[in-house]
Amino acid sequence: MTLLSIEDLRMVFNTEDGVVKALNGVEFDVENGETFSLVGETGCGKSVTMFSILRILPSSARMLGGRVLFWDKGLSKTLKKNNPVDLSSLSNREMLKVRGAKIALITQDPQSSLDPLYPIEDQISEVLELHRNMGPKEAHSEVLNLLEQVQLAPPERIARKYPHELSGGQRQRVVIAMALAARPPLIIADEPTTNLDVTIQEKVLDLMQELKRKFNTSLLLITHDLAVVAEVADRVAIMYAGNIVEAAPVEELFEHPLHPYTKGLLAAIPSITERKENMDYIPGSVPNLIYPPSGCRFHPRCRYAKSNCSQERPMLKKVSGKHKVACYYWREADAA
Amino acid sequence: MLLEVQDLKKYFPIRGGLGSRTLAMVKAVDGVSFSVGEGKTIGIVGESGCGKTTLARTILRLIEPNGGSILLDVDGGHGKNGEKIDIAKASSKEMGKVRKNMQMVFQDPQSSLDPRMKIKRSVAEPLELLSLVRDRKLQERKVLEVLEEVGLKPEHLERYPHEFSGGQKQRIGVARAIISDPKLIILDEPTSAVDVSVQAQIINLLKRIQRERRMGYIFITHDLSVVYQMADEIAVMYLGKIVECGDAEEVFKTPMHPYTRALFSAIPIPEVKGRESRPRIVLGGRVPSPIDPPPGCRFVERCYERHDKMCSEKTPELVKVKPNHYVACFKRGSTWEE
Repeated sequence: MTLLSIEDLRMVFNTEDGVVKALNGVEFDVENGETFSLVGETGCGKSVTMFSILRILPSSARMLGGRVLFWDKGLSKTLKKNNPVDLSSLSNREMLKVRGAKIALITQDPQSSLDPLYPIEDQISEVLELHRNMGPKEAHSEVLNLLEQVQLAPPERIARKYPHELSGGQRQRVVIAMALAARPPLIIADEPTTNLDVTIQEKVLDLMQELKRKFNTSLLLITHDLAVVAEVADRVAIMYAGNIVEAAPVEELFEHPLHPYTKGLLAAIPSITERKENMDYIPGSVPNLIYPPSGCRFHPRCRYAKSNCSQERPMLKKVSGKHKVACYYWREADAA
Repeated sequence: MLLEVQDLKKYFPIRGGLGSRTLAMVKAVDGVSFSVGEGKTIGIVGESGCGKTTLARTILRLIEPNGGSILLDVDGGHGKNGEKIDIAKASSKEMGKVRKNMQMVFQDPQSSLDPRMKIKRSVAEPLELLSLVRDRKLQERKVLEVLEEVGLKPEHLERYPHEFSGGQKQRIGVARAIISDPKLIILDEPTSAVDVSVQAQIINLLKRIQRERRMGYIFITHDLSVVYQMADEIAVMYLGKIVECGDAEEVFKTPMHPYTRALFSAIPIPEVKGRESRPRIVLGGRVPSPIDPPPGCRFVERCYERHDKMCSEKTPELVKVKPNHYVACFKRGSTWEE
């Protein structure tokens, strides 16, 4: 069952220097109960995609096209049929019922998601009172329950603490508890472990996976870190300069990448088992999206590019099973 | 040896109360010793708060050490009687002799470049500040040389930092570090602000200029896979102390300190197959505070191997377990003998 479906999403930003063509027809689906990972480097548009879903974009943003379909009985106006709602067409007022309640967000920096002036309990119970109509008493016991779920012990003591009294890993757990508080069907996590040390990162990832199963939510994980993806994702989409260039189940993607960009990206990760005199890399750098390359936006850095690559953008096409790739010459790349 | 650091200490006092008494000491770097050979790289790894950045700044004497010695062996870097200058105690005049031989590349190239300065001036600044080259023409020629060396073009001279990508900015950071022709470069997380596809370019660049210039590197990072690609030797820090060090290949293949083993087992690997078979050690607790640490091994509270009272009473010293492999743990060898 599909929970979220992004169709041909196109988004631009007006800036002083020109129009940034940030999203160039992004498409992907998130299924119920899965961890779907959106991977890409700085500036590829993964965060803009997330902001577009939640509609928390600055006023310089303009949506040129596309749909953000979300399946939820509570939101759907035609209750009986399981029709999706297009989040991009909702009013601002209606969106208030989506953010936090239906789609929760875990950001990279837990510090900025927490108000330094209020103890932990107040911040979690705010969500409960707002989205689950709980009274103070009920909310109090649910706060303790949530803190226990994210393995913060003893919950009574943690609840009374202020954000600055907690470590980075503990703060991220509090944010996870807040995200779960409204029992949303979808949680978007934007680089949730990037600011944490490796020994803590593992534990937070494990916890997120466990709670995802327990609470039966889907997770849209946005990251640049392929190692994190390998650890937790069910399916992966690779983004480059505003497009999804490849999408596949996680094992398939790591074992058998097809797009030249994906291949280059995987080869550029430093190994811990083999030392190389010279590491593989992708030549050049990510393009400026005010002047994006024509056709396939990867073509200036691609060694398989031919003349038609700079003329027309290759669409994301199914090559086998659940494996999709947007490249004219994936067969050549695969054979190499 | 190009650089020898002996028993280096940096304590930060915490003051408060009446008359700003010293209430406690943060032992950020507490008796660290290591050396770097010409053309070699030592990787210093550890989690946030272990003291690795303080160590770097102390070696450059950007902050004053509380004890220990830092000897840098370079031409012209000697005192009246031909003895090596001890950076830890050197006068500002003596520092003047060695400064140009030590440079640093910072984590965030964005914040280390002045946004209002053209690249040619940013890169030329060390020549100016160290009074190496005064003539503008000569300066510019030097700048051109190093920019070319790091893979940038002459037309980049007149541009401003915001016109460059993250990877290019880091190249500029490297150019500025090598323009004074240093013998030692401290690299503080030089690749953690750039993307993977560019990270590999920077690693290759750093390795190439090291080969060509025979510079010694101190490579500070939390990223173990990057350090594995770069370092000849590695030192693992925990709460201000080195707990394990030695040949990088050796330490990576047979880590012995319980902390090192836990750290290595947590390295995220970009593979899906065979993950389950990978042994993992999950550490309890969190990194304790470096404020007035208790006696004994600093890892003792989180250690899953602690075996007797000795661990919480005496501080284990680094002991040689193999020709180039040192471990600071009492249990060393007793179960991991191979």
